[in-house]
Amino acid sequence: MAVTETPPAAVDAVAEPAPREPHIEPRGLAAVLGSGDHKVIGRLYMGFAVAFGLGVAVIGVLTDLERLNTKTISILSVDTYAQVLSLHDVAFPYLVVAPLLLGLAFVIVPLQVGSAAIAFPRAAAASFWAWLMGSGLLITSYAMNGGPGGGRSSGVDLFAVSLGLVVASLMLAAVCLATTVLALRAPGLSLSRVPAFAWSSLVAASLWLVSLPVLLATLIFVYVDHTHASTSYGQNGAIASRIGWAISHPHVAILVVPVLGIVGEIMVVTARVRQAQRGVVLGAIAAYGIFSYGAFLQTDAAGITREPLFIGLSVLALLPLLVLLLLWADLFRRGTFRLTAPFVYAVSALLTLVVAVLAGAVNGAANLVHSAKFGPAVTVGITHMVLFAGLIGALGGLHWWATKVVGRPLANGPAMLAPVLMLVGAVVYGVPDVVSGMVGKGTEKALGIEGLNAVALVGIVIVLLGIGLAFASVLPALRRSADDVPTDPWEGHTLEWATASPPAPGNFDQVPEVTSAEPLLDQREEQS
Amino acid sequence: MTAAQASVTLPPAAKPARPRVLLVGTSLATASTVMVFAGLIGIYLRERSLALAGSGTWLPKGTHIPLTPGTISLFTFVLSGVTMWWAVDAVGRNDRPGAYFALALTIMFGLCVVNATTFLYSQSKLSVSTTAGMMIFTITGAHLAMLIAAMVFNAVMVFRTLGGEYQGRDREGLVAAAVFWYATIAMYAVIWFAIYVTK
Repeated sequence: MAVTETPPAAVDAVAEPAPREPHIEPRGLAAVLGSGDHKVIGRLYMGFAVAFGLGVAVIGVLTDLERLNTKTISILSVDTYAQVLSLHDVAFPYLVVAPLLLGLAFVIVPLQVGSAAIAFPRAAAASFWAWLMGSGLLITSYAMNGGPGGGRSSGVDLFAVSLGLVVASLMLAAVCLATTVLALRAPGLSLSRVPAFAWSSLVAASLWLVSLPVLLATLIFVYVDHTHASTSYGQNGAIASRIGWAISHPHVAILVVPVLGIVGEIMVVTARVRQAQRGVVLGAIAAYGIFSYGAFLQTDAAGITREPLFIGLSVLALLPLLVLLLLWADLFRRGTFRLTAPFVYAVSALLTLVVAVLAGAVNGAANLVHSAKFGPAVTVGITHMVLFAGLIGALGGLHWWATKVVGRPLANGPAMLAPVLMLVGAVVYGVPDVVSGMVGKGTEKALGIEGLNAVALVGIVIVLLGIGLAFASVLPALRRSADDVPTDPWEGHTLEWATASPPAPGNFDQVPEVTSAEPLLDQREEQS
Repeated sequence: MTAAQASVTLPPAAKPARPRVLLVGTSLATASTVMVFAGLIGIYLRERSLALAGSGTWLPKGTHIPLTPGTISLFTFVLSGVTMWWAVDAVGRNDRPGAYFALALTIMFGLCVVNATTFLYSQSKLSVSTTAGMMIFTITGAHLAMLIAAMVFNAVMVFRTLGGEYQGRDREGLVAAAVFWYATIAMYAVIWFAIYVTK
């Protein structure tokens, strides 16, 4: 019998060390496929999110072209149009924006908290591969005439299973990320000293863990009903309304909470000063996340948006953003301003989010007046602007931490224009829908405001130009030599800038001790 | 001075205390699982209230959910909570035989609940093709899946304890398994009241 009652430590003390075969590190594709390194997994998340993003952009333009004039323009059939629109609405948050921000957090957060690895590295790797498989199956389900309202029963089943897999994967990733911040921080790095991005990732992961399960529960019911019962709950036509809350504002806002952390990091380092009222900044980020919690909208009960809870949260979500705006504006009153591409990204992402949340507050407040009930297009416009804020923020984060993520610094020059184009494009794309919903209430054509669809199309083209410019600034950097990459190109304040670029396996030679929220700035001030 | 030269090196810290990674991760995963059940039961209650407001009935004619197997399962679960606490306490006192016995009892009680639930299924004559049947089977089936996961988690902890990994106050894995087990019991209590008692 192989069972021992002796603790292994005691056995190790007396046993002779057995000779071991030299360990050979896997290289090439094997190193990627079998890796539990948070940096590799994070890059994979980001890479595939970008790839899915290209597809989402194409179908976004197609649907926007189609809605210019549904009588004269007929690129897609009526059924196909509905399904392509549905794929766009599901894929944009769950296949593009959330994994893009998650990937960035996977790479950066363990570095920021001074950890050698992410918590549960194998689970983190499993979350990525399951997400990728779920994403592939989700696209397949639409390709085989599935999805909500799909004509092929097996395709609809596959849709429920694949989206469930995507959601479960994101939940698993959220567990790994939140545990890293909660349990793997360097000595001295209390939660109040955690960098803004790590904090916002913790807030986002926590909120994902209490809201995504509600979507998963809905999908479980839909799948069981569709396969075994065929009652009214899982009818093809009803599925879209069951999951509609999960692809709309305010729920999508919790997917982009890490953007506030990215903006906070860039602002404070760019201004070269310490963040005043740091606790208020962290509190405001958390408050924005909590006020954006929208899982209670799972019920498709009529009039839910007239409930005081919905109205109150819609308006309250604006307050933390205004507080953050004030505190970050104060940095530039006290600090030394320098114009960098990540700074322009940060400002653009923040302004896009503020416009979206402002529209959300107006939409919520309008529910106080019964006659002012707006059309669903308002939510569509707000949702798009929130997701674009997430996209701009994630690309800004990629630019900011490029030396850690891709191992090379990105050029400032043309990249400065990209976020401005994306900001303008996102607003021009989202605001017409908001106006259409507020004024038209579904009767846009009668009111002669159908032309707003053309404005929205211009907006999406401007966004795509900005995204194209952003990637045009990344590609030359990837071709450049990886030698002599600066460890800390921005004179950063937090631990990730103490690691090599790109960080070596294990991240830190020694676990650093932290005595403030800006350990590197402390060191720099002591040396000077 | 270039930016690269400007980077600073921080002094090494003292070796950190062993972080309770497994316990924190399990607690988060448990919270997430509880939210899945919150979603399932919330949807169930809403559909039931709509059905009662409409047709006045929820369970199809000819079906009956007996209360006895569900109540016996609940009390079996309560007992398993005691044995789970006993296992954690026994490891804390380095009483390894006691810990093995308590964990084995916990898993056995779990199997008893699986048995009672399948008996309840056979007695209820509920069809999955109705909204009520579909939802009840989904929720109780999801809970059985949670219970099986909890038993596997417990079994892994038994083997780890047998291997000497946990002793004295160093019993993080067992505490993590206990957290998940207690959540499984709590979810059953909610299901018992929301489905079996109020029907």
